[in-house]
Amino acid sequence: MRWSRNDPLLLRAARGDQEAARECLSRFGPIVWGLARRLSPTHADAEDAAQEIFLDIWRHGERYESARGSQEVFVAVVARRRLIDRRRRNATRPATEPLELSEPVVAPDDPERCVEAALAARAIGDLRPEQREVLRLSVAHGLTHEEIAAQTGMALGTVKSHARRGLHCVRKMLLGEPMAADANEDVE
Amino acid sequence: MNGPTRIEELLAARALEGLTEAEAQELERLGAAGDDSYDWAAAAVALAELNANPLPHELAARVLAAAPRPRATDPQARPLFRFWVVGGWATAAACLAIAAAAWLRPPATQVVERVIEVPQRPAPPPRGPTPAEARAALLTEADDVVRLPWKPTADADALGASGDVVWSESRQVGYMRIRGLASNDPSLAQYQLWIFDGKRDARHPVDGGVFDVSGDEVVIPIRAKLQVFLPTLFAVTVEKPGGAVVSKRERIVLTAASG
Repeated sequence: MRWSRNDPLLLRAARGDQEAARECLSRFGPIVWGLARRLSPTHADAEDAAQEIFLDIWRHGERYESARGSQEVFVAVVARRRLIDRRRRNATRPATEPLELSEPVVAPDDPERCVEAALAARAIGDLRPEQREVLRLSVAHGLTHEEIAAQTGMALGTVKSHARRGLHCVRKMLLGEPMAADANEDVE
Repeated sequence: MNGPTRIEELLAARALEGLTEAEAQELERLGAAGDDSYDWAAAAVALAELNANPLPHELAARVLAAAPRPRATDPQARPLFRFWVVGGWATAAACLAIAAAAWLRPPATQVVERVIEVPQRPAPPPRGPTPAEARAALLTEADDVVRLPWKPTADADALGASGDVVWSESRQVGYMRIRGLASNDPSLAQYQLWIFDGKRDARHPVDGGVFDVSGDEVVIPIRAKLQVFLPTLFAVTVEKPGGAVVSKRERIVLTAASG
């Protein structure tokens, strides 16, 4: 198997290029660590999760297709799948992160870290406030639908509907489809 | 419910919370298991809302140690392979000589040297403001800051506690300054802030984040999970480690009310 400097970083790392692996850590490590911290109940759990995620990245990096989207989103897809799987396996909920208490910044640090994130941020801004709130609690804060219902006082079915429709709108934005009609549909 | 809607429901559920075995099989039967467009959408949302931080150095070293190594057929490996083919006999002879010499020598302690590759320790990131500095900046820079003094309840851990809470609605940023509240053991209990919003149902205050107290005075950034429109009351409760999704309000230690 040959690799060239023009190959995506993920492919080169998956094929054994050590320099690419180091670059992967520096470029994608903050994404993996940020997601793992947010969706793991403890620091130790976040460390285990981050290691498992990178094993997945090394194993499946060759599946990355640049035509599909950015490497950042590919990494985030792999990371979220692993974290969701761990949460289902452990049947634990992500506690509010005491790890971050020393950090005064609460806003996302770089909503435009890749083109998909910028598009998603735009789509989120166009959502109905309830959809935006539910989607953020679900994806960014890692709350389950039941927890969101308990926290917001919305019915569980409404939470599920808002989350699904919100995500559907973001997906449409990423696919370049018009999204206004979905954002204004009534909830179930 | 028709097929496409059920597929959409399952794909969104998989992206947000994962599927049960039965749901995964259903998605497979519906022929849509390969559609990961919802997973990509959820990942994009996660990236847009992310606070990224570098991997801890020791963790990065462990991750790098598990990275794939070049395979034997990789171009980088070829010169070494050719060397073994061309110089194979000479090398084998040299190895035999070394082995014989080693056999003839008295046994010695064997030292095995392992080289472990550790990534360069990254330069420490520039230090951000401490919560106390950020609080001071908020007070001077934001023109809509609400500042409310804490009132301790009759709870023994709150005896003599004081301080204040500051909140900027336009920035959705705020800080708690707390003096004299009993230190907590995070493995047993943690403090949690709740924000009652005049524009929301009072039965569901906004979770303002879980925090610990150690020392006489702490400044804690508020981490509101939802947008706060009109804060009417801030309340600190004692909860189980990790906090509660809905507080039973069994132990309230501090309150700060507007008006």
